[in-house]
Order: sequence, then structure tokens, then C-alpha cells
Amino acid sequence: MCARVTPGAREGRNMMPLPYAALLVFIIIMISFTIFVLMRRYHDQ
Amino acid sequence: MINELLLVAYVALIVILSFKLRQGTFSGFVISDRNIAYPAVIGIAFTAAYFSAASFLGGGGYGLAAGMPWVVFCTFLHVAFACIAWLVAGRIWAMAKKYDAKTVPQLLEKRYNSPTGKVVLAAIMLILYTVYLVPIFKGCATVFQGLIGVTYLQGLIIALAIVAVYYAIGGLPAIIWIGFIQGLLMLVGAVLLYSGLFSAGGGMDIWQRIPPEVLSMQGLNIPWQKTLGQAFSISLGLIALPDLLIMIFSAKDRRVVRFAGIWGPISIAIYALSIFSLGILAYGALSADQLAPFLKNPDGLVPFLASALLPSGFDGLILLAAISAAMSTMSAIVLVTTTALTSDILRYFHPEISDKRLLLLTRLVGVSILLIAAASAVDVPQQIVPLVSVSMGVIACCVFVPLIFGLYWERGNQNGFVASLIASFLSVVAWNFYGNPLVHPVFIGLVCGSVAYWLGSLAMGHPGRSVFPEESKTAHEGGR
Repeated sequence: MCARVTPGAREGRNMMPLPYAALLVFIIIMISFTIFVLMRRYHDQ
Repeated sequence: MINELLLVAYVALIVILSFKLRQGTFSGFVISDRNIAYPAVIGIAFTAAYFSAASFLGGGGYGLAAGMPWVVFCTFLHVAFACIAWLVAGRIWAMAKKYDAKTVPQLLEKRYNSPTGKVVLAAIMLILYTVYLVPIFKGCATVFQGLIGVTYLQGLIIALAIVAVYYAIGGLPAIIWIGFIQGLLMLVGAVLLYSGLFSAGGGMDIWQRIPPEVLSMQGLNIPWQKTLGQAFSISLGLIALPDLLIMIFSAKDRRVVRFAGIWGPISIAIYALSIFSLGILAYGALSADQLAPFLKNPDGLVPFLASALLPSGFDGLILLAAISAAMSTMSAIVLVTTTALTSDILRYFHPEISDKRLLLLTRLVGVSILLIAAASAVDVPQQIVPLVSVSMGVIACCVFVPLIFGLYWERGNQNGFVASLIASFLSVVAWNFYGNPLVHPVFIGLVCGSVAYWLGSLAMGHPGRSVFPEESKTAHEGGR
């Protein structure tokens, strides 16, 4: 597999981009919230 | 040879399950007698029915043109709508059980006491779902070409035969159980592709190899506003598509729905993140020459990645996952489309039809709809995603407004229901042809449908039927 290095790539840019990292955080928050609400309702009964 | 063996094992499993789950009653055929007791099965079958070959092939490659906004908006909205869908699912299940609704039009008919609204919605579903089946057949046949080297037409015939068999024999129980297995395959395929691409790009170094313009939230070749509209219209279906709602109807009790609400969003998050990221990650793992053909035909990216990145034998697994994505969606759609015609429209005009006759009709009409869709797929336009989003968007708008308002606003009545159906349908279609392409028709459909529902409900002054009239809501909360 021939990997391509972008000429304009700067040193130290091998970090996950901010929008992608934020997306991962939001996914975890949304799913945790959903599970919390569903289980709270379940235990309330 | 490995691919052929994989396909034979896959088809054998489907046929065995279909016969094991064969149904002899109309209620068993269309809602599994509300007896599915496994949350994981419902949650993952829901995910499998939602994602079609368009997501596997088109969704995987679309990021090549749209860049980072596609990944962020599409994944975020899918997970968000999946969470909302499962949070309201318990209430939907309780309402369906209370009214003994077997289809979504029936649920809304009984909520609003509006047989007219039921027939209008069923007619919209009948036409648009049949349209929606066409590109899915196309995607499925294309994958069969790649899997076992058959012609496109042969691929169509194989897809048609497999779906027709398990639909006609097993009905919803077969659709759900086979969908569960197909969903597991899809998840494995998606994760394999994602990790394969990451590994080929050098792990976290892949981010360094991707050009900055691909990672920009401004969008690459498609403006971010258009990508947002596209992502919104596709993911809205998670809350309001009838082929998904019937999975909720089939649950044995409310506890099953609740626990399915854990499996559903998690499986959707894993699948959406893995598949929708492929387009941008490909920029970090493939050369410009390798990428060039897929900028024109993004649907070819996933099959290429499967053969180029994964060890021999695994590419067959990926293609089988794509076929599973298509078949799980087709089978669920054909069931709701058929019941819209037989149980909702035909029974409205001929209430004397017995359940036994209705079951036979539902089997025959379902196979006929599959035949029509497959025949139409012999010659269809190339791009999959836009085709799917228009028809799915209309259905989602038409169901979303009366369903959600009907669940939470007791003053909503039959006039608001019918007004919202007509307004949603006309506004989406009109905007699709004459509106600003930067604003997706689904946004317009939602606004027009909501305003029409609100005005219609208030203007005519009929008191709405209470969602849960006589018993207390806690009784419904129990439901088990």
C-alpha cells in the first residue's frame, strides 16, 4: 500500500483533529445519557 | 472459491432460519405476535434495517467529496437521533400495544381516529418505499458482481430470490432474527475496514497524511451546509421510519424495549463512525493515483478498500456485510410497504377480508413489490445516496410530525394529522424541484408539516384523543 505524505503537512500534526475528537466525546456523552435515562426509568418502576 | 462458500453458508443459514421461524397467522407475520424477548436482537436488527447498501457503499465513499463535515455531521446526527429514537421507543411501544396497531398508519389512525389519514399515509409509503427499494437493489446487485463475479442482472435475481424467500416464509420474525445476524456481520465489516485503513495509514500518523482541506469543517468539494442537510435528512429516519418502528412494535414488553435502547445506539455509533470516516481516512492511506477513480465513483471505494487492505478471504466478508446491509433494509421495507397496501388500504375498502386471506395477500403482494423494484433496478442512475435521501426524507417527515406531536401533545387531532401529511409531502417535493439546493427539502418539510399540524389541530377545535386516555400513565410505563 502506497501511503501518501502531504507536502504541506506540518510537524506534530499527527494528533486527531479537533472536530473528530469532539465528535468522539459527544458520542460517549449522548450514549451515556441515554443509558442513564433508560435505566433510571427502569429502576423507578 | 472462498467467496462462493461464504455465500452458500450465508444463504443456507437464511433459509434454515426462515423455515424455523415460518408464520401461519397475520399477526405473527407482521408483528411477530409481539413476542421478541431479546433486546440485543431488536436493537441490532433495528440498526441493520436502518443502514442499507447506500450507507455501506455510498456513505463510505461520500467523505471523499464532502470531507470532514460528512463524518462529523453524519455520525453525530445518527447517534443523536438513535438516542432520541430509543428514548421515545417505550412510549411508542405502549401506544402500539394499547391500540393493537400492527402497522404505523394504523397506530396513527387510532391515535387520531382518522381512517383518511391512515390511507393517505399508506399511499405515500407505498409509492415512495417502492422507489426507495430500487437503489438498494442496485447496490446489492453491484456487490454480488464483486463477490462472486456474476453479471449485474444475475446479481439482481439472486438478491431478489433470497429476500423474497425469507420475507414470504418468515415475515417479521425472520426479518428481525436474520437482520440481527446481518447486523453483526455489518458491524464486523465496518470495524475491519476502519481498522484496516487506520493501520495502512500508519496508525495515528494517518492524520498527518490527510490534506488540511479534507479535515476542514468548511467542506471539500461540497459546501458544509449541503452536507448538513443531507446528513440530517438521512438520520431523521431513525426516529420516524415505519420499517424501524415495527421492530419496536414486536417487543414482548417494555423492559425489552428499554434494554434494546442500549444495543441500538451503541451499534449505530460503532457502525456510523467506522463507515462514514472511510472517505477522509482514505486520503491518508491511499496515493493520489489510487484515489482518482473513486472521486468520480465514490461507491467503488469500499469494495476497493476491502480487496486492497484486508487479507485474502476478508474481502468476501466485507462484501457479504454490504449485501447484508442491503437485504436487511429491503426485507423490512417490503413488509411495511406491503402491509400499507393490504392491511391499511385494502382493508379500509374491504373490511370483510379475513386475516387468513390478508396473510396470503401480504405474502404475494410483497413478492410482487420486490419483483417490480428489481425490474426497475435493471437500469437506474449511478449515484445512490441522493436517490435514497429524497424518498426516505419524505416518509420520515410525514411520519415524524404526527408521531412525535401525537405522543406528547394531546390537543393534536385528525385535522392536524391530515394537514401535516399533505403539507410535508407537497413541501418536500416542491422544494426538491424548485427550492434553494443549499437548504435540504427535509428541513422545509418538517417546518411546513409542523405548522400545518399545529394550525390544523387548533383551527378546527376538535379535542384531541388522549394518548393514554383511561388508565394512568404509570400503568403504561409497566406494560410488562
